[in-house]
Parts: sequence; structure tokens; C-alpha cells
Amino acid sequence: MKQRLFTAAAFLAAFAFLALVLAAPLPLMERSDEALYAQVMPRQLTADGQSTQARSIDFARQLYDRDQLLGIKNYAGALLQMTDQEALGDAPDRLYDFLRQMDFWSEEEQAELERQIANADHWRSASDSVGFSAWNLNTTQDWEQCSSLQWEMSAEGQLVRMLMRNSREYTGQDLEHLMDEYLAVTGLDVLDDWQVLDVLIQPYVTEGNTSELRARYSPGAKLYLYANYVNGMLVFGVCPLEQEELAQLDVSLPEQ
Amino acid sequence: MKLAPKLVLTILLLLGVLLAAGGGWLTKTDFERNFDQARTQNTLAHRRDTYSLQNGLLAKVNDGMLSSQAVVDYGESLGRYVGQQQGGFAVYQNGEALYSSLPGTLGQEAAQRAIDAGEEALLLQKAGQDSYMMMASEVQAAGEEYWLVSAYDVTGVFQAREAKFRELFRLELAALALAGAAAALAVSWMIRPLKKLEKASQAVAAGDYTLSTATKSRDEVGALSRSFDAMTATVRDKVDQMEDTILRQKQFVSAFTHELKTPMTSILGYSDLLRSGEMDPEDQRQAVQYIHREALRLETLSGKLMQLMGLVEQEELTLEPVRLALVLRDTAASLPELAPMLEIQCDPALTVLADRDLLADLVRNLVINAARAQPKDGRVHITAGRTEEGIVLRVADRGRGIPEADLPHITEPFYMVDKSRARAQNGSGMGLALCARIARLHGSELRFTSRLGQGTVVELNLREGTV
Repeated sequence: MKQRLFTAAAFLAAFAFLALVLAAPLPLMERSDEALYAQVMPRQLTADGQSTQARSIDFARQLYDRDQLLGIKNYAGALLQMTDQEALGDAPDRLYDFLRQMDFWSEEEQAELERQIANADHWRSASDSVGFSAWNLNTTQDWEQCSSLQWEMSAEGQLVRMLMRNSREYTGQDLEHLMDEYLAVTGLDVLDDWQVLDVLIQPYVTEGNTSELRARYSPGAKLYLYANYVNGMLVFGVCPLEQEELAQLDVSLPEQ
Repeated sequence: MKLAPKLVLTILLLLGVLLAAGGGWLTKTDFERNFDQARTQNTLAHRRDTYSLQNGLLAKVNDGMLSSQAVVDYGESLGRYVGQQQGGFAVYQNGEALYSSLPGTLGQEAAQRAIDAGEEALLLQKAGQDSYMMMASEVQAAGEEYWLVSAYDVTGVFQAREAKFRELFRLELAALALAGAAAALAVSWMIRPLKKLEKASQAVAAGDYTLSTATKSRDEVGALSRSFDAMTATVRDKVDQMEDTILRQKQFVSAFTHELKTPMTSILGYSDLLRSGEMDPEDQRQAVQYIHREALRLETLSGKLMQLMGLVEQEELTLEPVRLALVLRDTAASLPELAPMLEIQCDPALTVLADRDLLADLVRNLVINAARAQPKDGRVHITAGRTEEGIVLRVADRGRGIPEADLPHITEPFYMVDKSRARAQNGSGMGLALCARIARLHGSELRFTSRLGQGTVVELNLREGTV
């Protein structure tokens, strides 16, 4: 009888202990919460892969954040607006301001660009929440051939990319010069890890035309800089690109 | 407390501690993962909102419309765009809120604390029952500095943790209940052999050595059970031996008393007659003769008994090489009245390891017994020779022989095949007991072969020695 009572008491004590043990995380969680509410934590981004140098440049950071962190790609989801000359506002002036800073464009080229914009018959534009805006207009050149002029700018007036048809023919050296000037104006020349890429892609080139492709890549800023002249069309600009994405392009980094 | 509840309790306690630790760890890691996920999402959302505000304010600057009211208007439109359900945000300039959709419970201090923490910091703020993650970033437009303060509701992360803990608590209780029941069954099954063992021990304590646990398991309990069975078997054998010894001792005392009483009765009877003085001289002479003879018997009996007792206490003898022919010669010399009956065949060179005197005693007793068997040819044959098992000494007679039923007992003290004849021949019943003991001290046994009416052969193996 005494032994049974003792056994029952032991079981009761064990159950009480087990209840305490199982409930033990509660006060621990409370204490951990108190510490959480009291401390100042660093912000956390899982894919913040840019170098410190790259993040110190506003333009480089915006490009990377827009593409890699916020996932805003090619204005997906943004409203494409048909607009007119009045609604165009100061967009062309902001473009001209940027281009004038570059020691690249001749007066003839500048005049040709202004003429194309002035003669544009209709416009389309799109913008995203980071403040980037893209413009696309149909225009005609001297030989009355219908063409397309496109550019994209950041909220701070930095040119992101540009596509235009021009009567001038560009050499590879011109393109290298264009890239140097672009980097200087955007402030991206501060990055010291730009690497020249061998572009192996072979675009379709019509007879009598030339093709020049130039590209550079900054692993720290994860930015891809390009300047191409194909079939009389000049395209240049910068875009964020992860190393893995770069590997999928038909370009190769020089052996180091 | 008994072993079974002890084991069940131990299992439950260990399991409980393990489950609590595991559950706690699981809840903690789950919460940390969710919290980190919320931190990443909210950091991204805040960065997006910062860009949006910057973009919106810059647009106003470009349009030449940037004013406090414009900031408020933009804040409201941004608020509609990003939604206010999961927190809110505020735009501050010089410590004053231009626009705020932050929950009222948070208060101005919380926003100021976020601004003070800086652009890389993140704070957790409690407001009533809700928890908010707060971040502040600086936005510049037209030379003016603004602060965007965002608050993101993370109450769900904490509620998810509590829900997880409650769920785990219920699961742990169920697991403990199931484990307790399973442990009780398993332990009860495992200690079954121990219960058997307990029963067997109680039976042994009560004097029953026949109960066997007979456990087949190969574990420690099985080994213990088998050891217990072996132990009880040994104890049973010892007890049997002791009982046998006690019985023999009783029989010995009984036989000794009887052997003592018979001559004493005669001595007392005849001495009473002599004391009465009513006997004629011839009867007196016979009475004295009886008394003398019985006294001699008593003397012989006590002498042999003392010798046997001495030999029983002796553990071993110092054996020396002895020529067997000399031993037999000693025997013949000590029995002059029987010397004519002896026919000895022994190689004089045969040497055995023996105690010469004791071996001579042994042969003498065998010769006396053989002579008392009244051999038909009036001879007692003593032979000795080599065999593969050593040297065999054989004493044979062609006398009356011993009944087969008596053969196993003839070496017991006081055992006599024919008591009246033995007593008449002054036998004490101790001779063969002595011989058997002497043979054992020589590392051998006496072997008896006998047929009624044809005689008896006694053989003894002896180890050969070298002089």
C-alpha cells in the first residue's frame, strides 16, 4: 500500500515536472522577444550582392535594386502610355542634357537627333516605381525611312539605354570611346573592375552594312555595359546582370 | 518503487525533456526563419517605397510643384498604391510629420526612434497586441531632406510561433501518452523473466530448489536467469549431498551405537553373573572368557575407528617408491596364523608409489576377509602385475562370495554382510571402510567382483614407482 502510494506520488511529480519542462519554452520566448524589441537590428537582403564601391554610386545601386531586388524587369506591369508632344514635357531636354555632357556627339549628330524627335509622329512611354522612364517614338530620316528612337532614363536624369539610327558609320574604336564617355558621365567609371568582354554573338547583317559589338562587365556592380552598331542602328547602355546570367550570353570574360 | 514504474518514469522524463528541447528548438528555428523572411521582405518593400517617394518628389520638383501639401498628396496616393492594411508609413521633415498613415498605437516616439536608428537599421515595436517592424530612410529632393518611416505589421510572425508552440505542445502530450503506454507494455514484457526469477527466489527461500526460470532470451536478464538456474542446481546438489551426509552420519552413529551396545550388553550380563557369586568355576571361567573377548572386540573397534577417523581427516599421503614384495612380506609376517593359506605371486622388482604401512594394513584386511570367507581350497591368492593402467594388486579367494545387493555397501563403516558370523569372527565392520579410504589416499579405488559360492576378487590399481 505504502509502495503504491509512493509510486502514485512519483508519477504525479513526474507529470508536474513534464508539464513544466514542456512549457519551459514560453518564458524563454518571452525573454527572447524582450531582447528583440530592445535591440536595433540591421536590415536584411538575401540578394544584396553588390560590392560596397558599387553601392556607393546611386545610379549603380538603383539599377541593381530595380532589377535584382525589386524584380522590376522591362517595365512588366507598368502602364504603357500613348502621349503627345505636350505631354512629352522635358523628357527630350533631359536627354539632350545628358548627351551634351559626353564628349562624343558631333553637332550634326545632335541636330539629327533633335530633328528626329521634332518630327516624331507619335510617342509611347512607360515608367516604373523606382522612377525610371522609357520612351519610344516613331520617326523618319532624310530618306523618309520609318525608324524607331528609344531611350530610357533614371529619375535623376541618367541615361540607361538608347537606340537610334544615324547616318554616321561607327567603328569599334568609336564604340570604345562612346563607352568611356558614358561611364564618365554616369559616374560608373569609379568602378575599378570593368572587364572587356569578347562578344561572340553574330547578328544578322545586311549586305553593304557593318557590325561592331563591344561590351564590358563589372563583377562588383553586376552591371553589363554594351555599345553595338549593327545595320546602321546604334544601341548602347547599361543593364544589371548576374554572373550566371552573363554566362548564358554568348560572351566570355578574358582569361585572368 | 518497483522496477517497471521506475523504468516507465525514466523513459517518460527523458522523452519529455527531449521533446521539450526539440519542440523548443523547432519553434525557435521556425520563428527565426519566418522573422528573417519578414525582415527581408519588409526591407525590400521599404526600399521600393523609398524609391517611389523619391521618384514622386523628384517629379514634383521637375514640375515645380514641390510643397508640403504636395508631399501629403503624394503620401496619400502612395498609401493607396501600397496599401495600409499591413502597417503604414509616414513622411517626416525636420522632426515633423508631413504625412502619416502609421497606426495610431505606434505614436510619434516610435517613428522618431526609427529615424534616430539610421538608414541601415531596423526596429521592432510593440503597439498594443500588435508588433511592427520599423525602418526609416532619407529622401532628398530639391535640396530638402525628408524621412520615410515605414511600419510593417509582423504580428502574424509571432502569432504563427504561438500557434506552432500550441500545436507542438499538444503533439508532445499525445506523444508522451503514447510513449508511456508503449513503454509500460514493453517494460512489462521485458521484466517478465525478472518476475519469474523473483518467484523462483521466493521458492528457493522457502526450500524448494526444483523451480527453474528457463528463460530463453539472450540478454543480460536471460544470462542472469540461467546463472540463477545453475546456482539453484548447485545448491540443490549440495543440499542433497548434505542430506546424504547427514543420513550417513545418522546411520554411522546408529551402527556404532549398535556395535557398542552388543559387546557392552554381554560384558554387563556376564559381569552381573560374576558379581552374584553363584556360578561354578567352569561357568565363571567362560564368563570371564566372554567378557575378555567382547572387550577385545571393543578395543579392536575403537582402534579401527580411531584409525579411520585419522585417515578421514588426512587429505593426502606422502607416497614413496616401495617394493611391493616387501609390503606383501610384511603382511604375511603380521598374520602368522594365516601365512600357510597365502599364495603370493609377485615380481620382486615391482615397485609402487605407496605408504608402506598403510598399504600393508590394506592387504592385511583384505587377506583376513578372504580367509574368513572360508575358501574351498583353503588358499588366499595374492597376485601383482603390470597392466596398461599401472600395477594391479589382486586378492582373491574361492570362498562363499558376497551377494550382489551387498556389494555397493560393503565399504561403508559397520556394514556386515552376515552380522552374527562377522561378530563371531571378531569382525568390526570397519575393515573394508578402512581399505577403501587407504585406496583413495593412494589415488585408487577398490574393485570387487564376487559370485556367491565361487569366491571374491578384490583389485587395486597402484602407480608404478622407481627406486
